[in-house]
Amino acid sequence: MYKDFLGLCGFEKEEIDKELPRIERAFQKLHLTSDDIKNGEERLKEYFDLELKGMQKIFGIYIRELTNLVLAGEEKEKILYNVMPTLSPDLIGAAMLMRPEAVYAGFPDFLVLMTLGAIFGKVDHIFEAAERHCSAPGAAHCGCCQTRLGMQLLGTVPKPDLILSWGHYCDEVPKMDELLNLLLGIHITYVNRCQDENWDEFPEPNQRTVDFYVNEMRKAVRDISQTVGFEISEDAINEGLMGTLQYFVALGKIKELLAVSDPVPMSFADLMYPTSLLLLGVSPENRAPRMEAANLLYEELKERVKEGKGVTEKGAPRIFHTGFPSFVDPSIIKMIYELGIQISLLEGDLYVPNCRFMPDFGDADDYDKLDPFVILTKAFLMSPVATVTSKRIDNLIEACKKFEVDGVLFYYHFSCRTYGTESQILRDALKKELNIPTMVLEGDIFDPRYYTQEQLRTRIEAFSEMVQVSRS
Amino acid sequence: MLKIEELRNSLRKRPGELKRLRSEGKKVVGYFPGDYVPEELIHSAGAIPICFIHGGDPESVEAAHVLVSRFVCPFARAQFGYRVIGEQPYYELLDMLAAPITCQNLRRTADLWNHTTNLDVFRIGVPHAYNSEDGLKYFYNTLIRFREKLEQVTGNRVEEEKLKNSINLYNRLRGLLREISLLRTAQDLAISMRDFVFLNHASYLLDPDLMVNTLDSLLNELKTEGPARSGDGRARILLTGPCLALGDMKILDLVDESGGDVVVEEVCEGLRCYWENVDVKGDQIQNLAVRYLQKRWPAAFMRMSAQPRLENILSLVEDFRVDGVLWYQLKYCETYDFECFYAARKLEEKGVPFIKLESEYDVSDRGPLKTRIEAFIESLTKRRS
Repeated sequence: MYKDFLGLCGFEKEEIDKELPRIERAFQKLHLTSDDIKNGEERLKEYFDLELKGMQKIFGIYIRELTNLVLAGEEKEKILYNVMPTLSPDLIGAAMLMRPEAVYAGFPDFLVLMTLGAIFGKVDHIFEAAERHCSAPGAAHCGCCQTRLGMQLLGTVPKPDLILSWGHYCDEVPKMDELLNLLLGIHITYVNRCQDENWDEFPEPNQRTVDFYVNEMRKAVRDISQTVGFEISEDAINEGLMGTLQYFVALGKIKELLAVSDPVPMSFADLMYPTSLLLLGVSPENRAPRMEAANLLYEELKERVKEGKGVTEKGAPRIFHTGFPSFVDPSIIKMIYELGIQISLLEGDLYVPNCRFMPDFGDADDYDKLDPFVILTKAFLMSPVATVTSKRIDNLIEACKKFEVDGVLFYYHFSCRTYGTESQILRDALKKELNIPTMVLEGDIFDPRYYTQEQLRTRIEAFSEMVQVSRS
Repeated sequence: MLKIEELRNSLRKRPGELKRLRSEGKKVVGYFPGDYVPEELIHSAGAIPICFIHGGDPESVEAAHVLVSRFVCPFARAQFGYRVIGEQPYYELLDMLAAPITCQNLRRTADLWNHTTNLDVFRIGVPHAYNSEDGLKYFYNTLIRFREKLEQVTGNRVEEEKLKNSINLYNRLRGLLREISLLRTAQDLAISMRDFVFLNHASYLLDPDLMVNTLDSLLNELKTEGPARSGDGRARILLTGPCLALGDMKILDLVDESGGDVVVEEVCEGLRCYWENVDVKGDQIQNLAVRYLQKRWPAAFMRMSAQPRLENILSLVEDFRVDGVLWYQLKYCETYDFECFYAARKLEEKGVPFIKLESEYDVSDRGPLKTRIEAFIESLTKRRS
């Protein structure tokens, strides 16, 4: 029953023969039945673009990473987890690079949501388990944190030796991790940040923030070293980071291509997968395949652009999407395209200043001479989600003009205190500056139960009509 | 109590007074509560510190929705909503806003003030790993920057001696509030819960010299007069949670009506602010940094705060002879909601009765809250007898 499914995920016959026993064991641990596998096949065909071989290969990486995660408890000595909003997979990833036979380092929340959730449609039980515990329904707790808690309560993924908790952006994540420490005995190490940049403090990230951040990361690495029992070298972090940066550049090319193409050659529901591999990180054996898949995808997309092939008709209104699309429900993005509008850009991909697809670190040839912690810090602080709101506003307005979009959809994760209000501020600022249709749409990017496609349809239809009317 | 009446009168006149003082060139610095903004610094710069502590009414929350997500805590929504409505003078009479970045709710509220007003908004970085050396160093440097900002806004230099005098003044104010609060460890209450909460709130808005003089007299009055209320048969309650705003009296009213008394308030605008004083020996900014970041009761948005907060609550339960703990939380306050789960479990293990109540500052909250508070107090009273 696995072969057809794995075939859709880009596995060659010999790869299936070799890898099936582990995959089978992992799927059994996840209680995936033959019906679930069948459902996974159907969802892959319905919501994703499997004509693109690059996408198939990327799905293959997700399945391999899911297998590694689920079996880590029996195959590895130490398990390290990253959580959202992570700045980089490479701090814990360095430990796995140095001792791949002994250490597993991964980011289970996204991985499980994007596989068990988006592909198999089987995550409700995880949210329900979290809700029966400390993450009560109706309190607007974040689905990503609920996933982490629910998975530990149900034993979906192994208990880690350490969670690297990023307390630099929201309140929910570090607090949830504190409870995981107090109630389940999981060791937590934090990377903190004081978000005290004033509106006039930019364009360069200020030194006090960079220094504090860098120090926090160095402390975290010391704690990780202590947990795994060997010293994580700066060389290993650098090696991991350079791989990530190369992948980042490859992704940037894809995103730039999508931003300037009409019609847009692939759906953003698909694009979520290569993009998220940046944060998820991958096991050492999947680093080269990840790059190959991204390069293959780019070539395929270039071909499509040449042929004028895309997910909508040429000339369809182009919109800008802020925040992230759903990680678990690809049907929402599909609906947007079906309603005749094309998403050509994610705001989160455009770094400040000047709407770049990559933060400005200077000459790419000199990357290896830079301090990896400074690179990470600056990259994060120049991303729209982390920069000062005043600069995010400037960047958004500039991007709308530069890419000549017809409308902006401010889609925000309802339980995110960080994003929710900021979306309203951004919309208000944009409306004062540009006369293009906008909509602030409340949704849930992790939990598929409440904001379903049908629930959102009426509002998205209205937005689509607004954009079409405005354009005509 | 005459002194309390005098303070009420002063508070009624305070907006007019602020208007006059501003016209005479004084600067008013508003700040968000939570006890991470040293009022002493503002005072020593010759400015008037005014804390944004109003809340409890649905209108301000509703008004904020024009730009605020409905899943932000109602207190934070109100801090923008008052400005939108324009009916609360303290939110109009400002020259600068100091915004400690304690949680995302207030962080975005600071953004809203930036976005919708021309006011100078200065963010105060609050290191969440509050016990770390690096955190303290960062906070120290933040206070240095804050001092420079205040000097720039007021045109006055913050001299070491002036700062020391301001610290002494505020130490005296905190000390008096603490002494009055401690009177409530006795079985019969020298001061009612509403009056004590009023004193606390007034201290954020009124002139500190006036507060000190009045509290001094009041303390003598309280010590010499008989108790304001006999504690016989009434349940003694510890109130804990994120905040108890000026105007959010629903919970206190319901506790009173149901036969209980709140005898200590472990909230942002309560004991956390007056319990500890600032040292005056050595570097004053360092002393302020230590007191405001570390030498205090941590809030739930701090890292690994649940355990020390629980221990603090347990010690208060003993010192104030508390019958039960009332966890009063605002809707969508995520860190307190998580911490509540832990506290409830642990207090149950220790045999301390516990109730969690939630409000979104809506009048419709009252009915369900009343039923639950009545049942809770009834169970406490039975347990006592």
